[in-house]
Amino acid sequence: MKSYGKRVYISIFWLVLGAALVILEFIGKLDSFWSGMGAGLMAIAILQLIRYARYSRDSEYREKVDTAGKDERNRYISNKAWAWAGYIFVIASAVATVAFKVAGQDELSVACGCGVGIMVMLYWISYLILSRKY
Amino acid sequence: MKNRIEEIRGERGIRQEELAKAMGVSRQTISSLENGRYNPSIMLAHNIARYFGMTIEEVFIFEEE
Repeated sequence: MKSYGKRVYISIFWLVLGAALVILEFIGKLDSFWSGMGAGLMAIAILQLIRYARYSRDSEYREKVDTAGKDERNRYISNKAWAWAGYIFVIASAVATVAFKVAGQDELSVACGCGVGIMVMLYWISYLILSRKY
Repeated sequence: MKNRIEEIRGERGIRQEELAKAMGVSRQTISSLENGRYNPSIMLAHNIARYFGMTIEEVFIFEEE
């Protein structure tokens, strides 16, 4: 696992931030949206910290995690999954844009349309950057 | 692309886990290679061939589509 120590500090930061959001809701400074987000951040940070603790103590687990991180098939699958997620998001958003327009939900239609536009724009920017790199 | 990894590994009595560890990949990667579900990078193909003391052409069989 690359930069293990840095990841631990980042998780502690998310844990503290999450706790702060929950406390601020308790004292009435924020609404429940932020405390919900805080609780989510805390849960993820705790899970990550448990994972890091196991990584530092269990040599077998450490080897498994390190191999998975370097494994080229794993990276290939991960990249492919991101590509699929992007395609599915764009197609679903495009369908939703038309569906919301037909249903008279103009605001939602525009939001979905913007989602498609932003994704396509990000794709072209990424393509441009990567085509210069490779 | 077909390969002879399973055949060569079997002849030499090498387990998938051993080959995976030597290559720095997971056992599932070796399994996928053997089943032809995944084609390796040139580096992994080179390392596998070298591990067996063979050339890439002797281990991997290129087929034109």
